[in-house]
Amino acid sequence: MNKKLDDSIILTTIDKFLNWGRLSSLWPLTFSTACCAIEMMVAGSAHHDLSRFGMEVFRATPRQADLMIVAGTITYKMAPRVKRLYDQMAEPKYVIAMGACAISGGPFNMSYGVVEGVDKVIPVDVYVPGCPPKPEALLHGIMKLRKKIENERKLTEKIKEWK
Amino acid sequence: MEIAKKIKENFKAVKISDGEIRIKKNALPDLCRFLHESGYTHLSLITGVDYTDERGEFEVVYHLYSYSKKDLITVKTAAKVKGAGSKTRGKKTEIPEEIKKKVKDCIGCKICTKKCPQEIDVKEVIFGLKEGKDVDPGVIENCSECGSCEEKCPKKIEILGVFEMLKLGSSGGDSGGSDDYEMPSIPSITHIYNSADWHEREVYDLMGIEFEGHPNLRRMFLSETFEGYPLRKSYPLTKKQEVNINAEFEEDEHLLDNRLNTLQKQSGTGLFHLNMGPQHPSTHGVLRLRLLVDGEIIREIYPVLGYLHRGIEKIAENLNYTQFIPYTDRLDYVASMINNAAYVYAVEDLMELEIPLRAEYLRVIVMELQRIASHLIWFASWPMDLGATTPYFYTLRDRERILWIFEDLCGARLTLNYFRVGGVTGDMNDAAEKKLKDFLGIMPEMIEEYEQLLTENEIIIGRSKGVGYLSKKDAINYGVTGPILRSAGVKYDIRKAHTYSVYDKFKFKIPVEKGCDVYARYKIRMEEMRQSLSIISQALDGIPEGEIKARVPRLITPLKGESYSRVESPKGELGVYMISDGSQRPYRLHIRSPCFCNLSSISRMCENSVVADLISATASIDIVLGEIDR
Repeated sequence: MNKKLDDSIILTTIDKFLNWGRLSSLWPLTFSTACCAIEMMVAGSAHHDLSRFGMEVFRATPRQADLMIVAGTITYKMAPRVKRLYDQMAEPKYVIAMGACAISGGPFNMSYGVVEGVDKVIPVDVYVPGCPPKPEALLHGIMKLRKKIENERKLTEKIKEWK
Repeated sequence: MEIAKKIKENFKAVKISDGEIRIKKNALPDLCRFLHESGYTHLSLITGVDYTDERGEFEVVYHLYSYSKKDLITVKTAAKVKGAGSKTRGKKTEIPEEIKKKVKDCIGCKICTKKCPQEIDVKEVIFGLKEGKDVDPGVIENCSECGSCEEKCPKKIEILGVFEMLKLGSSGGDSGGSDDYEMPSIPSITHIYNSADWHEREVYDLMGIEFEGHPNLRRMFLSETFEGYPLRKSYPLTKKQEVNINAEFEEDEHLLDNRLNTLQKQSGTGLFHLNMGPQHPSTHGVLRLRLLVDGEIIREIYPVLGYLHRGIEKIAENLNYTQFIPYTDRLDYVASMINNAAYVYAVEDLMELEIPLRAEYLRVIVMELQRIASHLIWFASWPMDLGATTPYFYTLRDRERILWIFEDLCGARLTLNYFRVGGVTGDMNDAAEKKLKDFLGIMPEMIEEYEQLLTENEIIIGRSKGVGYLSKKDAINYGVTGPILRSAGVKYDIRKAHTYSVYDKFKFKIPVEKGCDVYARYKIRMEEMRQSLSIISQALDGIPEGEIKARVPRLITPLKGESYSRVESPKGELGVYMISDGSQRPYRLHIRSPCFCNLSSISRMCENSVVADLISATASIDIVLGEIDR
């Protein structure tokens, strides 16, 4: 009996279990504005293969996505839409700011139409620098995000709140 | 010139000098109609230039082209503004405390003036500031920030710091915006050229020039709530304005409801309004289309642009000529090399430079590689919009090979910044050459493979043959260029028609189809990739030894004048119109974006077609929003 149980039972906390589920299948939103989008596309293609991380399904609707990769410049005209898309995503949700434009406005940050970084509009979890970042850099950013999710204690915090 | 003689006979108040016609604004529509009838059917661009400070007027420039005569004409007209020209002159401004503190030690020894390589009278500026005189910041326009004045100053004054403050004070802040003159106006030519519609709206939006008789004069890129006109010299580059989304929605609704009601009354059926974008998987970025649909049938399309409007043309006026090259990369980001080329040719044209032959060969090689890369991205995204994902994996796999070559040449993958005024940055090396040869060996086979996937695929044929039909007449009238124009049977490719670089040394064909539909555009792009491969291998065989960059001064200061350079980008005619006032920064730079003009035909292309065909048609235009919105 003991032998059988050894093979089939893993003891863990619920938090860790949920985190594992979340980080292993992050579904990104197809949200792209400028140049970085092309590198994001490349990250999803054969050479870099995002499906290794269970995230090859780019969703067209924010309701089915839990990761927003902001790839490109955000203008003042676009900013309210970014906010709206973010609000439409279901919790828990994460944001990667990909490239200089999404981080700080990049080369365009002095211009009259450009928001100086997407973090002025929505909260950002991971910043991936570059103009544009190579697909490898984006993958590195995704790994960082997975690390971050792994250490989350969402449930424990909730329970503490209830107490 | 034959046409010049005819114009002189027919019109009184015109001035004609080498291909440039100046005319009074009231006679403009007549002249345009006359030119249209004499074969100048392609309106390449309309743009405005702000001369309010110098002459108290706005100039509007039209470039008209004749396919049969292969001739480009520039028409210029001006709109005077009342009350301009004297706006900020004569007003004495206070010198800020910080500057006063820095210059208080100046003894007026003139050492700094003698040391300045740009021959700026530094002493006059610094001593003038100390004395409390009004200093014109234009004097230090040419400062290269070399620091030699600062080094030799006996009193150790931070001259460069003072200069920077002066510059900031002159361009930024709220003091700049005094547009208290009336809106200048010019007669519209939309009734002659359909393509004028969007061009005029763009000029209205960014430059603030009204076009009398334009049917739909609204903002093109900026939000309806935006105040001011950013490309005017009085608008500061850094003045940002937040957008109120609700006000924008209301404006939208109001406009569409009116149109909906009139249409409904006409047809008697229940129409409704469908919004597509800016977040939509098949708009290739942040394009928004508002459709008025009757069930599944599209009645009218109202594109909304500007979700990626970064103000690149304004930025150009604030940077020197070399600094702007990286920004061109970010216009049409899937074809950076070709944007680089268009810009660099415009500057070289102004400077009348001679480029080493090896550099030109290298340019041709990278431009053709980039054309293939761009078509591959198109080939990945068009079938994906129709539901086929396999081509995406195939093409991006092979496109990666091109990026490796670029990486060996210049260190970047996408935004390459490879061109310089006078040549290129990196020479062909062994690693790149080997990869290039491998690529040339593999690629023909791969193109075969792609064609096997799609050319006779029943679904693809069903969704592309007869879809997005744009007749030859419409294509010309809407100012469409590139593969779309060629799919309508017009054999026009700038590489052949107005050879630039060394394209005349190579043998290649221009594929032309007569289908006028999405399928024809697909066929053309496939053939263009093959032709590009052939050009690359010819160039690689014939590449001469030698320099890769002409001798060009570090700080580029072209002569006073203007140039319009056009290159054949994968999307069509990419033009850069540049005006230099003899300083280190362009006075005005306008980019004639092929995607912008091609997209304007979407409403014609998809009139009375089903919604699903709109997806296919939009994809067939191969839009890149970075270039449309600029």
